[in-house]
Amino acid sequence: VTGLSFGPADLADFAAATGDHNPLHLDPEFARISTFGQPVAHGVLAAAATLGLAGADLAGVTQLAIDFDLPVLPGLRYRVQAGADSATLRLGDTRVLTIRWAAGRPVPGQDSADRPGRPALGREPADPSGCPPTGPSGCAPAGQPRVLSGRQLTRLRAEAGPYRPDLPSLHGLLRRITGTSIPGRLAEPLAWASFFAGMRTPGRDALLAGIRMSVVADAGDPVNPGTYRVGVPRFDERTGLVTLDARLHGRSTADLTVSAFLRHRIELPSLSETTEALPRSDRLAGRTVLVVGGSRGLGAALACCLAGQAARVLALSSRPAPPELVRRCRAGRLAIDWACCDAGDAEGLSAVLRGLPLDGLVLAAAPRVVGLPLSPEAVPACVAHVDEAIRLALTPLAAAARGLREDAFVLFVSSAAMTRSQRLWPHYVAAKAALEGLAGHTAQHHPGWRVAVARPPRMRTEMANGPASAFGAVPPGAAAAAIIARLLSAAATPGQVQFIDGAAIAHPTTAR
Amino acid sequence: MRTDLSSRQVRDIIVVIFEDIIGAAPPRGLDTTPDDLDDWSSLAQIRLLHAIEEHLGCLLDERFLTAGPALAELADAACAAVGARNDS
Repeated sequence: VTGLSFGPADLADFAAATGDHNPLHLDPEFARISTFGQPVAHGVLAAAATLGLAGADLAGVTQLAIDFDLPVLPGLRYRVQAGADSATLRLGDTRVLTIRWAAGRPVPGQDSADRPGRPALGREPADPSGCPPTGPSGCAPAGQPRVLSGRQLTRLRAEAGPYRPDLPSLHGLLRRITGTSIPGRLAEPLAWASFFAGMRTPGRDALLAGIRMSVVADAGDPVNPGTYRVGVPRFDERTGLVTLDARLHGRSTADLTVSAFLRHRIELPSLSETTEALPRSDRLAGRTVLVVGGSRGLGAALACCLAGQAARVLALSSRPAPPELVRRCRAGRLAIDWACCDAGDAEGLSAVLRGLPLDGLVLAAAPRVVGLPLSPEAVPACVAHVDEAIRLALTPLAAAARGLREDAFVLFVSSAAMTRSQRLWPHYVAAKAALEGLAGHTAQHHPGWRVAVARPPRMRTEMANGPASAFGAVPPGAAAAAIIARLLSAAATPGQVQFIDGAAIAHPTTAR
Repeated sequence: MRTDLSSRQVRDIIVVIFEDIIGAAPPRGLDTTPDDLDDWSSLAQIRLLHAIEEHLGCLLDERFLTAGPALAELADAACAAVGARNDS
């Protein structure tokens, strides 16, 4: 068992060596608003380092099979658990990736990019992003990753292009991280898989799922060295899984099957969703409500619902609200003022609020959730999550408290996970428990306020944007309407918290 | 679609695919659920479903894309999807 960790410099060096400049790995701001909330390491970097640390004799290895289960987060300490012909990378006891290998002589075979049933290779297809197929060296300068929708993916044809990774730099990086490296005939196809998935197909919104590779010849193509050919991608619309068959002519020739998920595009809250479940009214006319975290996901939907009840809403968020959402709300004559301010920024909040009298406060800002096991290695990340979650609620509550009227409501957004948690969510549930504790404290010491805790089920938001997240998830607009309907209809008991649970939100028609 | 298989053959195929994807035999056979194995992750569940569909040439219900049901439910659905013969 050997320890392994990655830092931002490792990710930058891997990107430079392979050409995989996907912003999920390199751009903290882009990564912050992704479902992971922070940059994640390139899966291939983690796999190559795991392979190097496995201690196996890789001289005769010609086949690799890699499966990715969880993102690899920089700064955490992972461990490599090696067997005779396989190794796993683990965080605590939780498997993050698996790599299996087999030795043998290269077996020439039919080009995997030309497998029967696949359309013949054609010219480079028209590229929706205008991005040429670049490699890190000997080709055009590294560009931006392609941004593809599912529909665009289904129209892609086979393609070919140049690829020449900087293998000396890649070996140097692996030696720096692990004290060893892996043979070039394995490293080069893996580097290509990272580059192609992260930059071409699926491109920017890729999430690498698996790689199967087989060295089919010790030499590359003498006529077209440093080139690849990829067959028409297969795309499963249910999960966004993209499967690619390719042949790479590098220092050797390798066949690859690469599978990667195309992350879903999260739709903005639909005003019709909210009004269907909660018809517009003037019940909150003349009232002012602050919605923290109000520009996206459930927070945005709650802001729309409250404005639909004639409240004047001030929606705060760390990033500007999407222009399309602002346009829709204007078109729907919803009185929402949008303001940019981090929920954890006490001074910024004071400047925005300036003692504004409030009739309601919604605390919907929360950090992204990455699965973490209950293990010593994950404790710092768990604690950081809880710290951030409570900071994003306590800071605006403290800033708004003075302005909240005696009969105001305060809505804390918790989660149905409080009663049905997932194995890798100890930090998430701990944070929500802290939030609910704060709600109880608030109700006890401010008996005039109506304090409510909503426990919504899994929703179609960026917070839970995984490959299978769409199944059984509730639209945030419908969830928000159910929450506001409950909040406004149920009688409050002074000093006690009103719980709006997941079942009432998931089945709003029975809840109202 | 594979239409020449018995229910037992389909179940055996699913166990082999499961071992390949998860990296371990199902400890309680077809009664195994994701709670029995930490390595049966949500991504592994999707890979498992895709591998079964690809091998048997069928499409299974979307509810199996999220981990939860026992392996037996997946096997029953696969048997129904390919019209597997009864073993008797």
